[in-house]
Amino acid sequence: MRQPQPPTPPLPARYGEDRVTLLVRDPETLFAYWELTPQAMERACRDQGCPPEALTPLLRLHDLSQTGPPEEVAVGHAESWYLHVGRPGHRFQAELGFRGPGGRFTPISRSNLVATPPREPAHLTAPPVSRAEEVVLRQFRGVDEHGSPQYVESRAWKISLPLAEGSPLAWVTSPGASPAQAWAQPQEDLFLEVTAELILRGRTRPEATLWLNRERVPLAPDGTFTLRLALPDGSFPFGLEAVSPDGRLTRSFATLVTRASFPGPGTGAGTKEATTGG
Amino acid sequence: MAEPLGWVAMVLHAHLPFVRHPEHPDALEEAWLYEAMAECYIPLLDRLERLAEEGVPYHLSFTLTPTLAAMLRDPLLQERFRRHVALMQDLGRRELHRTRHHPELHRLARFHADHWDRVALLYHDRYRGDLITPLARLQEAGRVEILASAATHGYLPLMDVVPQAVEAQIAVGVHAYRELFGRQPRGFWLPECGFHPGHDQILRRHGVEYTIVDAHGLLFGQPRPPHAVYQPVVTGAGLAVFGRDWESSKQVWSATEGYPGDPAYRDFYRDIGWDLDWEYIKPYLRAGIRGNTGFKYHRITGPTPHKELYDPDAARERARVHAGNFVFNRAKQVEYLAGGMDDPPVVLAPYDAELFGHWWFEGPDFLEDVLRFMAANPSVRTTTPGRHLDRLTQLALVEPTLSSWGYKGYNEVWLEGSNDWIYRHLHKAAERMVELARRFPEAQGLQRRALNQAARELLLAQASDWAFIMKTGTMVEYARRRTVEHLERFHTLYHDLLRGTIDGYRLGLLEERDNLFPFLDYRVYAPQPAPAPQAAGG
Repeated sequence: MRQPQPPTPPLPARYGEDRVTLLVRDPETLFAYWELTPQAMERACRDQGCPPEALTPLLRLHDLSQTGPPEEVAVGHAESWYLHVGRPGHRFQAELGFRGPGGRFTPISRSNLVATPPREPAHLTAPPVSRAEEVVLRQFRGVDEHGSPQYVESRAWKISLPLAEGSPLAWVTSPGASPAQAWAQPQEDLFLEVTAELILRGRTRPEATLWLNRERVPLAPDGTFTLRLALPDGSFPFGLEAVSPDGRLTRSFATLVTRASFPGPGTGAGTKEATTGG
Repeated sequence: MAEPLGWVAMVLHAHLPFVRHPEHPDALEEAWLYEAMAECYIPLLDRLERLAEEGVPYHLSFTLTPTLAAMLRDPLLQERFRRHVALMQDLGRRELHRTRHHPELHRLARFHADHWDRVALLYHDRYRGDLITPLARLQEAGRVEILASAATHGYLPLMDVVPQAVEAQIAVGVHAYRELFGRQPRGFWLPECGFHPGHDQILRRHGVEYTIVDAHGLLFGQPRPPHAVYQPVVTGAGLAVFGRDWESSKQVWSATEGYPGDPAYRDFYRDIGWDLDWEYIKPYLRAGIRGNTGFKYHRITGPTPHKELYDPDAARERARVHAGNFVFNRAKQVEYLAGGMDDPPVVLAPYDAELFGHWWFEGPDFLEDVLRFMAANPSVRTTTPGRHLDRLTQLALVEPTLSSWGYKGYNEVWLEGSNDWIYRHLHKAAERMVELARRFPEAQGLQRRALNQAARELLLAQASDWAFIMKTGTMVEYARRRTVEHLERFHTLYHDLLRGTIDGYRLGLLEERDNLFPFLDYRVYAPQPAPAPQAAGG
């Protein structure tokens, strides 16, 4: 048989610091873990003027890619949580704190920033960048057999010096800026892209079944629903029908939404027509 | 020969976690290493050398992770592998004896006994216990391109909370490569193909030219790559990125549709370690419990518990047919792709090296035939990512997205209910390591040794293998123990260093036990010095 292993000593259950950390699990899901110290609790009690049992530990998730109030999760005694946000390609930050009896929030700690990856191809396709051997090849080579990274960095910088801004190779000189955009947006051009989305919100009995134009709509546990739909130009009827669990009661609601876009001609040389998208 | 229409870059990723257990004469986990050596690494080397000697113009890429390389070079493990081979040769002799009245079984016993004799011959006489040098020679000969990888196969996207931890995994991985092969790596294998935006900058800082991401990491990149995964792109930081081709992967990987599931191939699960009488087989089993010996006499047969006897000749022939099919499909694939492209496309096909020989016993035969057939094919030939880059004159500028080759394509394998508890500890330990590097910028003597060992323990705790094993549900206790033990050793060293009470004896034991990366310098965790102001004009 296997020799008995000496027991492994336990890891510290807590590290005595207030923190909240966000991790991305996939395009739709975040994971948060945190620690709240007794001192933080005391601070919140003083701030709210209430006893500890009147405080609700709260995780607030800010979507930095859209406006609107943060999502709030009452986390109870948990120390980690999976957040099913369902928003690929967005940036998020979390705040951990306490909600007092009056509804006011006392923040304790703030998380790192994370970004969920997109779930679909980008609209813009990359143009090829010439490798212009002399310049770009050396960038790839990075370090020669005998060169240090610093040497190569400085050399790369020198090589790329003559490049004017707006050149296809300007990206090698300005790692901070988004090179893709620099390349796609010549300085002389100005563009305006407009898209529209429709948000339908509503509420029904949680156990009811909800249909939108014969497609089933998922309900949140409290019976609310939110539908977010890309809205191209045109008229769109939306028919919603809620059906009770036994099928005897139905409620329906219809709405007609029309979008019409009028891109203007613009002024100045090299102007691109404003575009609309769905 | 004229230029082909397209290229195939096969990448074999060889990795095992650091499972060296000097404290245990018969550790079960070390068997992972011995099985991979005998069934995979040695047979693959044998065939690649043979092809090179015959002058077959093939190209193949390899990653050899630093933990695996450290084990392959470790004298204790080398000695233990020699003993293991001798034991299996002994089993071969006993099997020949046991099966002497059963011609079919006897032939199979002979087949397996010969395999172990060949392993012994190669390991002792040809390689003299060193499997790294022959691989390095193949690289120098231009046949094989070896990629570097992260120090302990840490899963970098979930380490990004402490960027210095990512930096250290990459820096130590590149350093280990230079120690092994005496040159700078061109490519870097991201463990589990796990890419996180921004890590391209770190890789570039360490002189890496290219890496590989899974297909969706490139397809959903910003902006959209013009040729999907069939041409590498370059990031703003200057790192070239190849995308994995799903089509060629599936043909080989898939257990149901892929080649390895063919009824003629050797069945992995039927092994005399499970089948034979306990008293007879016991001396050949590790840790005194039933397990695999590598003597497997049955073929997959089909979806039935009844397995027929293996026929090595039929299986060899089937591997040849499958190799022909693979090359035919790649030729059709590049013929189709080349139509809309200025430069010949590249199909990048990465595989776990252990698939070839360990899980799929005939895999090395298949690979040998693929390399042979492609060398003579007019449409498609083999290349390596580095060679392909040298041929290109332009690349598209694309920022890949967060992605991995794990189940569902993102971080879920390593971040789910069974293993999410480790991250608060791993992140905290990484922060403490950064703190130590800041506090002790120029440590010497015992203090320096303690700092280096703390870095080793942290790196070992970060191996993605532990989270993966916790998820898969076998050997969970081992993975949990490894995570906790390395973290506990780290925290003890951390507190000792802060208090100035380093226990030299205990430190010596840890150094002896977790002995990888003798070159390690804890200052890889120091904050990066601010870039020197760039003088105008130069």
